[in-house]
Amino acid sequence: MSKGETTMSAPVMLVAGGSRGIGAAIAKMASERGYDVAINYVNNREAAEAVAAHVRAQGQQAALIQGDMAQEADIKRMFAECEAAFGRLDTLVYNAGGGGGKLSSLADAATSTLRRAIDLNLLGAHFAASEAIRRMSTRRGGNGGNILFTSSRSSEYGNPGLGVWYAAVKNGINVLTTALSKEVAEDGIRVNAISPGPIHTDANDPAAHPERLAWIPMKRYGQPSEVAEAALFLTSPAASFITGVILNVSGGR
Amino acid sequence: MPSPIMLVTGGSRGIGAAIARLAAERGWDIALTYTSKTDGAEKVADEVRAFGRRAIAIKADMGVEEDILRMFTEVDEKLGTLDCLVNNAGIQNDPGPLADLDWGQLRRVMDVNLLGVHIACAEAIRRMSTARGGHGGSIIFMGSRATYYGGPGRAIPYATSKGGLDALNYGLGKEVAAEGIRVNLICAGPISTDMNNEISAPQRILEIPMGRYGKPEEVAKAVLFLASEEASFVAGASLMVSGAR
Repeated sequence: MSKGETTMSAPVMLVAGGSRGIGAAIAKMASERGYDVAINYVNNREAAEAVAAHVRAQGQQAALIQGDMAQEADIKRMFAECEAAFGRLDTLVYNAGGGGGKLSSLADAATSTLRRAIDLNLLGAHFAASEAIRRMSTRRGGNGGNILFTSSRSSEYGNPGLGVWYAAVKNGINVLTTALSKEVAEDGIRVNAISPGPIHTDANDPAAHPERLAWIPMKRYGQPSEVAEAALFLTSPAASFITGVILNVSGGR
Repeated sequence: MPSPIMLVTGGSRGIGAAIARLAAERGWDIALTYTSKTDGAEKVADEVRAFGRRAIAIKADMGVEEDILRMFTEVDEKLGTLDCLVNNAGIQNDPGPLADLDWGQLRRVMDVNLLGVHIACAEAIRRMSTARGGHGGSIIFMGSRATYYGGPGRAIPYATSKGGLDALNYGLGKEVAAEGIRVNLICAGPISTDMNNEISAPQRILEIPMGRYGKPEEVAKAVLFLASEEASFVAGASLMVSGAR
């Protein structure tokens, strides 16, 4: 690659949890806006391939990176593979998450479910953010960048009966967003979060719980692309003075 | 009538010890846990007994599931059915920016401050819930004003783990409200303990509108209010004890 091509290289977005649902929508839209995209997935290689195909169809480069965001070694390897593929990192979207297992009352939850939810949503987010900061911080020799977390409106509602631990870890993400935004504000890194309400994905089909429509002032589920729009705005130069924000994308919920 | 039974995690010193002492004075039997300070824990247990109450000190690490399960079994066998769980045990990360903390330290903060608290609450609810044959009770979390200030440069993992407790308090408060269990949280500001005090961090006094650190006994009084019948309609609440910080 010539020197000229290097300076012209596209910005790189790494999407942890990028093969399905909201993460896939963010990865696809990023490519439409000129990013090269590293797509992390745990199990569903086929879904990740489909996202990569969309990225390449936009004329952008894609890398597929398998890795479990609840594991230290996998997170380290993800960053190493992203660096090997693109040689730069501009934006980390930490979208990996989930309830960790069966959603229930707390007294009926298995410890393995609680541990999985805390590790995947919160511990992994801390460690991945830490890895990203070490690479992007202008005070550590980097070029600055963006970190975007996926929170959830359940952090405000508490999720009684449906996994209070999920609300707990997502409120941890809210605190992480505001605190970390202050910590790295002078490192050229902006830190924000999207806080989705009910979004129509494979994991969350409105037909399965029609009664939940009543909770949403707009009386419909959101589309993953509507969350992706908010994510791409927050990580874009248009949001250059915005940091520490938790942006609800929830139809008024 | 037998005394009600309170389990205070992290009860050998600081805020936990103050809670155990005041609870004993108000008529509670006490189980308290400690990780390393056997002398401190036994001293607090003796102080409880001096009030004519029963006390047991249990060596248990709140970041280890087996220890938590054994702790509840010991309370069942030696004191009886629990009436109040005070999730007081907690740890701080080494001061520094997030990018300088390793996985092991993040893991430990989340295990003690968040996972262990979830496991302990589940065990307590299985015993106390009127829907499961229990007689009701209450659960109290030790939250922190750090969730609002975030501790940038110093204490982010600690703050995020305590932020998890804020939402857990709110969600669990609703989940078990109809099962005879009240769930509440103390949102503590700077309190003078071994972990944190006017000598180790004097500059922080400037951040406290009252111009001083709080005393462990001042937190204990708020805990005992939330645990008492005086607070019978208080559930899912967060009570700031922070000198207006």
